[in-house]
Order: sequence, then structure tokens, then C-alpha cells
Amino acid sequence: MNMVVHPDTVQVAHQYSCAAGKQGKFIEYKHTFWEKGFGAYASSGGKDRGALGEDNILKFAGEAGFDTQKLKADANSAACKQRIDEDQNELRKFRVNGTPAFFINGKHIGGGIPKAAFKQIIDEKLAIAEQSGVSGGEYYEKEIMGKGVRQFRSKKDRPKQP
Amino acid sequence: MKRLALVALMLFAGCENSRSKLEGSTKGGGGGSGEKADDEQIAAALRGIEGRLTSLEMAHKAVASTEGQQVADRVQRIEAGLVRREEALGFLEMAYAQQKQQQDQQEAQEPDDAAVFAVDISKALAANQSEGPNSALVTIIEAWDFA
Repeated sequence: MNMVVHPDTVQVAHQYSCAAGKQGKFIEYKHTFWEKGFGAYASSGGKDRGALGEDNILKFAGEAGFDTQKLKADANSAACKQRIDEDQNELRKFRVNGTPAFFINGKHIGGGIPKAAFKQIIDEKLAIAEQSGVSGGEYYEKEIMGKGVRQFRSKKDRPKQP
Repeated sequence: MKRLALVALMLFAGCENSRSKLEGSTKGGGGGSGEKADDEQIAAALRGIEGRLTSLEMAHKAVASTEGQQVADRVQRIEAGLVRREEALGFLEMAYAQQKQQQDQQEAQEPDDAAVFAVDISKALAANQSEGPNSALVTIIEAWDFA
């Protein structure tokens, strides 16, 4: 989900990710941006801010086979701006204020963690899901959205065990 | 029988001839020079006893005085130790209260590990901003920025 921590530099990149989704190429866009957008910016030691901008995005998107005209129109539409706002509003409910942050079947992970720990959580959640008997297509809606909490809950506010 | 009668006679005679030293002194010394000597011996013995008693009393007082001081010193040391322990305990209680407050504040900021957070991803899914099959049992939501 879009979490714009640096709006002055990457707001445009987020809007283009929404536009890429409309072409069914969200993942391709993400990977390409990291390599040719942020990657170029990082290589310059943070000096080449143009690498994160619209012109460069359209350049590498065109090379990757995107419909750049549609991409530009969608990226600058009210719908894509709203899409990003929606994500941020949703994440704000859970007090996500930094990246990366993850929710693995509803379990919050703030920041990066070792790969092994990440895998362990996934395996635990997978085992729970398999034991539930609920199908994959319904699991998130039924078990996470249906039974989970809809806003942030702190360790301090954890319900006491009877 | 003759032998028993002889022993009884001898015992009787012994009782008649010997007088108690106290008998002389209680009867006002009405006897001769032997009784006077006895009285002097008794008086000397009494003085000796009195002297020993006085010495014992003095010794006892000295011991009691030393022991009393020792006990007082010991009580003082124990009280001083208790005061130090009270201070240390007070400090520990204060440190614990501060630590507990910090922990509470921290826990109020951190997400509950046991909670299942229901993040709505329906709009992200509708916008094709996802990867992987819809039938997956595990859904990983990533909050990302491009910087």
C-alpha cells in the first residue's frame, strides 16, 4: 500500500504506480522504478533528483512497453491522487508512519526484520489458515477482516486473558 | 543383737558430746573460751563470705555494664543498617516506578503482538496493486515508499 513518507520527492512516483495498475503492470512498474528511478537517484548520492521525476519515469516506462500517454493521464488524474490518499488514511488507522511496514495476515511488522523471522511468521500464519478450513479466496475477508481489529491496538490495551 | 545394741549406744553417745557451732552463737555465748573461739571463726567466715559477695557484685556490675554497652552498640549498628536499607529500598522503588512508567508509555506506542489487524485492501486489489493469486492463504500487505 502507498505510504508516502517523502512527498516532495516521490509523490509523482506513487501516482504513476496507480496508473501502472490501471494497465495491469503495477509490479513491473515497481521493479522498474526501483532499478531505473530510485536506483539512479541513489547512485548519484542523492543529487540526481530528476531520476525520481516524471520525465525519467515516462522514459523508462516507455522502454518497458507501457502506454505512456495513458500512464501520464492516469497518474495525474484525481482518481490516482485519491487512491494514494485512501491507502495512507487506511494505514494511519493502524499508526503506520514509516516504511517498510508489513501486515502478514493481520500481524503487524514495523521495519525490516531478518528473512528467517519473516519466513517463520509466514509459516505460522499459513499453518493457522490451513487449520481454519476456510478457502484461500475467502480467508482474508472472513478471518482477518471479519475477526480482526479495525484500528491500532497497543500492547498496553491488549485484552486481559480470562 | 548384742552388736546392734552396741552400735546404737555409740551413736547416742556421739550425739550427746558434739555441739553445733551455731548452737553456741545463738545461745548468747554463754560458754567458755572454746565457744568464743568458735564465734570468732564464724565471724571470720562471715566476713569472708561478705567479701566474696561484694567482689562478685562488683564483677557482675562490671560485666553487666560492658554487655549493656555492647548491646547498645549492636542495636545502633542494626538501626543504621536498617536506615541504609530503607534508603536503598526507596531508591529501588523509585527506579522501578520510573521503569514501569517508561514501559507503559512504550507499550502504549507499540502494536499488540497478539492482535490481528484488519487492514482494508479492497481498494488496492480493485486498482490491481497486488501480486500473487487471490486464492493465497497468506496475505502480506506492504506499506512502501519509493525512497
